[in-house]
Amino acid sequence: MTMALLRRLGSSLLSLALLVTLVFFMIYATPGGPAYSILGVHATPTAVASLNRQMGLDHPIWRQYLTWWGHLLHGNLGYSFTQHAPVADLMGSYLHNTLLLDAVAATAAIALAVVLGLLQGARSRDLGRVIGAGQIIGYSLPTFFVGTILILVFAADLAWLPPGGLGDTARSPGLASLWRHLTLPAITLALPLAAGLSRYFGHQVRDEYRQDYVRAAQARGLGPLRIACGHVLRNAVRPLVTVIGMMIPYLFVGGVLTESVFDYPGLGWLLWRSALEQDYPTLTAIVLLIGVLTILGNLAADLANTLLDVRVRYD
Amino acid sequence: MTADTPALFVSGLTLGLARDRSARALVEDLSFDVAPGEMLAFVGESGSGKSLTAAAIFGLLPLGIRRMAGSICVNGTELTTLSDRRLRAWRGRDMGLIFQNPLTALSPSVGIQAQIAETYRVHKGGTRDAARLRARALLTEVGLQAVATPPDRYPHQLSGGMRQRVMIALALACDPALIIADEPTTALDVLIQAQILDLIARLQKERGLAVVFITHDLRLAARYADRILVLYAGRAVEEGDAGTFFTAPRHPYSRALRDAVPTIPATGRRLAEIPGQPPGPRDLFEGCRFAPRCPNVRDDCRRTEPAMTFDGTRFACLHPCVGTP
Repeated sequence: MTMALLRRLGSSLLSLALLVTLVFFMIYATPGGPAYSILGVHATPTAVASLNRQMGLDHPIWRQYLTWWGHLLHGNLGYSFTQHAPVADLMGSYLHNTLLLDAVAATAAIALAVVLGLLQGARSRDLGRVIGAGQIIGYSLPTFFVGTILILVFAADLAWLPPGGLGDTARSPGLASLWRHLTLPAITLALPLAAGLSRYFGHQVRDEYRQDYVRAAQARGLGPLRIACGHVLRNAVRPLVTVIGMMIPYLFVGGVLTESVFDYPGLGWLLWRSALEQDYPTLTAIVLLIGVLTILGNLAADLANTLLDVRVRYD
Repeated sequence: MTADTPALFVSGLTLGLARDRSARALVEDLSFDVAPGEMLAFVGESGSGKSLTAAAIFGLLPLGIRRMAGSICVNGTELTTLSDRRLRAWRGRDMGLIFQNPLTALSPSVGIQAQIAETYRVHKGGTRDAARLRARALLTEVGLQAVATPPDRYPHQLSGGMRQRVMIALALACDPALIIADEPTTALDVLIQAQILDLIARLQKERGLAVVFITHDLRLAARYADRILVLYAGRAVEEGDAGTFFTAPRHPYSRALRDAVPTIPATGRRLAEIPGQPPGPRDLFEGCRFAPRCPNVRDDCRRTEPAMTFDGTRFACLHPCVGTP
């Protein structure tokens, strides 16, 4: 068991190293190189050469690669020339906001998926069909469309909730304001996630209900709720945890659109703006961060799975 | 309840497809009873309606199959008029079901003591600790002293024979009057098979349990059961005392089943087989259902469905076998 854990940890570290290397070569392959993006496309060759020398870009590639590793290990993510600030300092609050939004959206999506999946898998066929149709709609509606409609209805027409941003946290701090600002983007982000997860989970639950042990539990006189929560859920939830781990990249990708639509100051919003402004250091740092979070998320899902599975725990 | 009340009394039980009225009944006009302390064996091929009958008694028929007629009484109480909610209180409390495959029939992520304790508490209430103690006592009673201690074990940690013992302990959790064992040893090897059936027979005697033993193995039925009921294509064809039944079956189907059992030492003769297939639910015909495969068949067999008659055993045949071959 410890051995398996170490192996799993090792493979995560290997993925991380590969990610860092991949990102390095992606920047290296940027047409024109970083100097042009800083100085503009009309920069003179002499100015470009001098900037390259200044940034160490005239060194051989292996040396640049090692320098890149050295900087990363010291937490140095580079300097944003468009924002005139070190990238690491820049990202702190954006990362915090994104993690907050993602946590709320993921929790809502998982809760909804478990309830819908249990309902869909447990009994009535007609109810299952209605939920199934809802899942397809929820999964296919584009994020920017849902977001825009939500803003139009709940912010513009009904004026119940703010249309976007995070509000002035200095002037109106407190949880109430935070929740009001989080609600619409969280719904937008959670909707397709809940649709996909519940569809998967519904199938899982239905498979479990076909098992003999459910019939045996009925034959012992256990009620439907007890069978669902005490027996079926325990077995159906394990594969769901793995899928949740794989959904993490989606949270960030969906986050780019959601945060842009709602003008929400998170990593997705920052990614979108950095791409428009050709702010390569910020862009690469975000890509790296998303990669790291994805790998860590999958690792966490695997560990959770190991803890949940009685067969792994005891063997 | 008097001493004469059978633990299980079924009469005129008819099961059929809910949507397809043109198909014949899957189980037709089946009547039998089991007294406390008695074991009745159901013998028949796959599809003869053995397991469906068990499911009907528990009110757990598969989707699409319905009880068309008949009455089912457990301990003198009619179950067919109860709502599903009321019936739930009877399942597990007054009747226990033992499944064929103990690995798939035990909940995989719940400890075995916890499963027994849960069943007990659902019906009898009481504290968690009391239910746990009860679970450990039951595990000891079925010969699982080794796992009747804390910590709890999961089904995958046990061998096939141990799991089936756990199933038996589960079925006994609330001291039921009736146990239905649906092919309890088909998934086990021969040595374990004998141990499990010895255990069920012992519990039957010690606790005065009424047992319905569903099997396709006539030899096991003859060895363990007090009475044998042979089913063919959803109808009872013969019912009688296990001893006389095995030596002198009257119905040609029972006789053919018996002759298909291999013997040790081998007699050198070719093992008898029954030609043809049992009819499916959509094969409709008049007369005896066994007629197309029957060695004794005559013209009247194809015209009239034989009724149950009594002559030593109860059997439904116009031209029964006579004497001991």
